[in-house]
Amino acid sequence: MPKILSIVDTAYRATLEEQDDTALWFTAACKTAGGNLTVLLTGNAVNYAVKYQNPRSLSFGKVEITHPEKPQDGLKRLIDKGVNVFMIRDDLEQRGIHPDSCIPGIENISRSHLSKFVSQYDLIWHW
Amino acid sequence: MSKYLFIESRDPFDTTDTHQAFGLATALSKEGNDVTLYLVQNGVLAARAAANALKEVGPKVSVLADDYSIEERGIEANELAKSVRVSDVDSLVDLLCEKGTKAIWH
Amino acid sequence: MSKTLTMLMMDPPYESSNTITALRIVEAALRKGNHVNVFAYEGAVSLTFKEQKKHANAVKGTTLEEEDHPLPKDLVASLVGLAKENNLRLTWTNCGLCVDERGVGNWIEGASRGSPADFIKAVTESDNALVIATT
Repeated sequence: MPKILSIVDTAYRATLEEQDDTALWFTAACKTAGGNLTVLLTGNAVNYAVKYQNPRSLSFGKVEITHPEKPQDGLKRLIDKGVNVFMIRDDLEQRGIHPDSCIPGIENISRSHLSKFVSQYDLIWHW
Repeated sequence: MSKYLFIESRDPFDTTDTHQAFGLATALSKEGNDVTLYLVQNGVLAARAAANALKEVGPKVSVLADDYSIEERGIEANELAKSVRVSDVDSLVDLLCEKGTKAIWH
Repeated sequence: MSKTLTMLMMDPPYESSNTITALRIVEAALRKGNHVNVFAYEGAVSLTFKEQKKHANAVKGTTLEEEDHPLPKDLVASLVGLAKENNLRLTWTNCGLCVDERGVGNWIEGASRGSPADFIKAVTESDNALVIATT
């Protein structure tokens, strides 16, 4: 089984109507199917680690989006499944996100170490 | 050491991500890996010499530009940066099918 | 010797230049004698929807016939045919849940329903796997 790195780079893309992040969901499904995957959050996707994200339900006339996904829950699900999750520290700092405001279980790496980090994987999928 | 194929589809003037992709490609090449950067779609907007968009791409990175994307955007041969070699989808497939190549679409 | 390439596409029709590039890669891979697995995820499941229709173009003043508007389902069907003619394998798997939520289950011959489990299986049996995510 190849070692796969799923780099999630774009956040909040259709997450309200999908009630999931499609890249994290796919990664979880592949993990359940036996895949050997690691997640790396980069760019604005580092915001997914923030503890207090709270998308409210939305109404469109009589129809509601009732369970928009809290991305931090999607990450927790992955961590609970045994998927290692990392994020780029520089991208957190650039966006003024303090590590204390992030959920536990995600390791920070510096962008300067990214080349060494990716070299451990057989396949690199960029979402 | 490994083979990496970065397929860059985005305009470097539209998004800072592209510069990060270029940076990673360069770092990997400096570490002794065989790295190819294949520009396609709006990624070829980095290919004009006058754009000066490839300065951060290291000299050991092989830079290819998709012929169809180049022609689609009317980029003439004499406009191309010296480091850019025009290529085609057949060559891209050959690169993709090379054993052990780590292909990253951006 | 034939290689096997697995690809994931995500963009819906007519929204991104990724689609045609991906199909160019599939076409070239087949033409060069390789096998291809495509996993259509999210909006890409609409690429094989049978009910796509051509239209005229009033802005350009073209009739239906003159415009000859390309339909992704025809491009995919043609690639399926190309594979068959050359005894090659082109599997086109639409992510089932993505199909359901978009209501595009009426697809052309040559497509099938699947899940990420099919994608991972294809990946392990391929020479390489390329993910073309949406922007």
